[in-house]
Amino acid sequence: MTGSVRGRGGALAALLVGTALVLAGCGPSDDEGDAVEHPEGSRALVLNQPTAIGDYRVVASNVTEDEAGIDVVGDGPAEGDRVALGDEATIGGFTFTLVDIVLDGKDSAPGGSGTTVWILPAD
Amino acid sequence: MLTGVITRGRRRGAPGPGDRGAGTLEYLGIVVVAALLVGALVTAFVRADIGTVLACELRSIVDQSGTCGGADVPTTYDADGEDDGVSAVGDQPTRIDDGPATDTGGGDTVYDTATPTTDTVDQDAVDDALDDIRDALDGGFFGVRGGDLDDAKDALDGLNGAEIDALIASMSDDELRHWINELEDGWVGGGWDREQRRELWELIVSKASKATLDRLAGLTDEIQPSFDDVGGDGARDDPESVANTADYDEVNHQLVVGGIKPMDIAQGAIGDCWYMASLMAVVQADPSVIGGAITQNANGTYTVRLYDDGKPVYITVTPDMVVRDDNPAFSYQSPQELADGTQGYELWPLVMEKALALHWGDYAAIEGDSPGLGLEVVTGQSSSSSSLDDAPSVSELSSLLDGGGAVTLASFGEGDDLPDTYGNASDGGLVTGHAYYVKSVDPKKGTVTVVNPWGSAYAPITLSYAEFQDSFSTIYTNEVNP
Repeated sequence: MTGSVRGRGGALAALLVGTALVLAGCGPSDDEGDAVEHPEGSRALVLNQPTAIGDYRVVASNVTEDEAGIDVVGDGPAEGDRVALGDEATIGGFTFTLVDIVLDGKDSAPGGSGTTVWILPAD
Repeated sequence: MLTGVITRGRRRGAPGPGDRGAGTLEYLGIVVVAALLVGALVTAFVRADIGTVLACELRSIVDQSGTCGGADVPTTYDADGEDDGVSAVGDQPTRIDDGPATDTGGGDTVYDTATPTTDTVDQDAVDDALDDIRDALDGGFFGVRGGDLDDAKDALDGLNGAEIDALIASMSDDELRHWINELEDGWVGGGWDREQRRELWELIVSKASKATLDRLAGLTDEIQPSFDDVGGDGARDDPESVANTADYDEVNHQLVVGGIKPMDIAQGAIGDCWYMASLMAVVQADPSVIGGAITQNANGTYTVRLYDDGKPVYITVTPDMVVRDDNPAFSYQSPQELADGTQGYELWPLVMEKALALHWGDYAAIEGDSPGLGLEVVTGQSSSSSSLDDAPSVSELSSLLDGGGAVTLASFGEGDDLPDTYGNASDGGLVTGHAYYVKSVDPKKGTVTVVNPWGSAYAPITLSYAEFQDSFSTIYTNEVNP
């Protein structure tokens, strides 16, 4: 009988703790991660996502920790090159500096990588 | 009664005086907690909003999601198209704030492609339906339950588009918010799951005018799928990203311009290469699959047939697309001449993309998945997958394509040892973490030509069969029309 009462007390405690945890999970999250500062005007190129920047569509691919493939589509066929971190490049008439590389590091399905290359367009 | 309890306890050899005191305290604690719970329940019946919160909490305990107010996350599938159970977290309803309704559209009241309506309004039918809906949403002592929501939906059945417009126009924003809150966040057992809600929205979106749908879209994300999370952290931190700057708008458009062709598609700023490559592969195999999948409704909306595990599902989308700087932001389009001589956009790729986003919850939900699943979603037929070591031979691939089949590919991931075929896409290189489709096979030369879904600015890539086998992680085949 004693054990039974203690069991109920334990169950009650578990219920209260569980409820508190659930309620805590219901609250607003401020887990936004640490903000990384980039030069004003910098643009994010998420891996393999052609992104409109001005009159160009720019895409980053085959990214390593210190360089990225950058392809640019303007009026005609795509042009591209590999660009190292910190370098300025002009590809297809589009001039920019590669200012940061953030590798996702997770093994993702096609299209699911969060790897991001930050570039600063020249104008 | 208390004596009886103690007596039974003693008879079984139990507690001494000290233990008995501790047990009494614990019983007292239980009584106090029970009283608090009863009080909370009574308050919940009186205060609908508290009831809603408590319902959410109880539901979160049941489905073990641990959160309230998150977005619905649909079931997604692994490379073999099987439910992986990871993302299927059940309903986590979206809460509706009590702020003002947001007008998400311009000042137009009908869509550009809507046909002039011949609907007449039977005001008695509208009034009866309105009475039924208000009665259902009153709920009474027990609040609004599932049966009440069924009654509200039944009241809409049978109304034409003009009558639905009139009915919604007769309801205040507060009434509509209350209805949507009950649908998404209702009392225990009373709220609807997302599939049920989608049935209601299908009924309304396929008939109502742009003005009505713009108003409703300001109250729920289940008419215009959210794109806030597309691109993840990187896009979130870029003030100029699509996620931070785009809006829904209706661009000048035509559903199909000059036939449905693979190169109508160009992936935009969203990680749905797997779906874009699949659409291209299916169009190459049989464009009528896409033609048969999209139906234009009289109100200017489009109903799209997709498949879940081989079963057809129908999703109706408005012609409003995610637009940034006046251009569609996702499946990329260059303006072209339409049948009326104006410049505009061919909408079918955007309609197919938006339909999947709405079906799966939002645009971020369609980022990253299997190119084999993409074929299944569009065709309803199962895909086969294998490593390239076990890939079909050149002649087998040729026969599959000639027979109306579709073939997609997944490239290697980041960090893998890459063969020389990888490089800048503009130079004919392959890229990691990406999807492609097989355009053609030349059995005589022993080559395979693959296409990057970034559009016609990137030339197809022809590989020897040996290079082909060395260059991809997985191949997916689908018979499309077995």
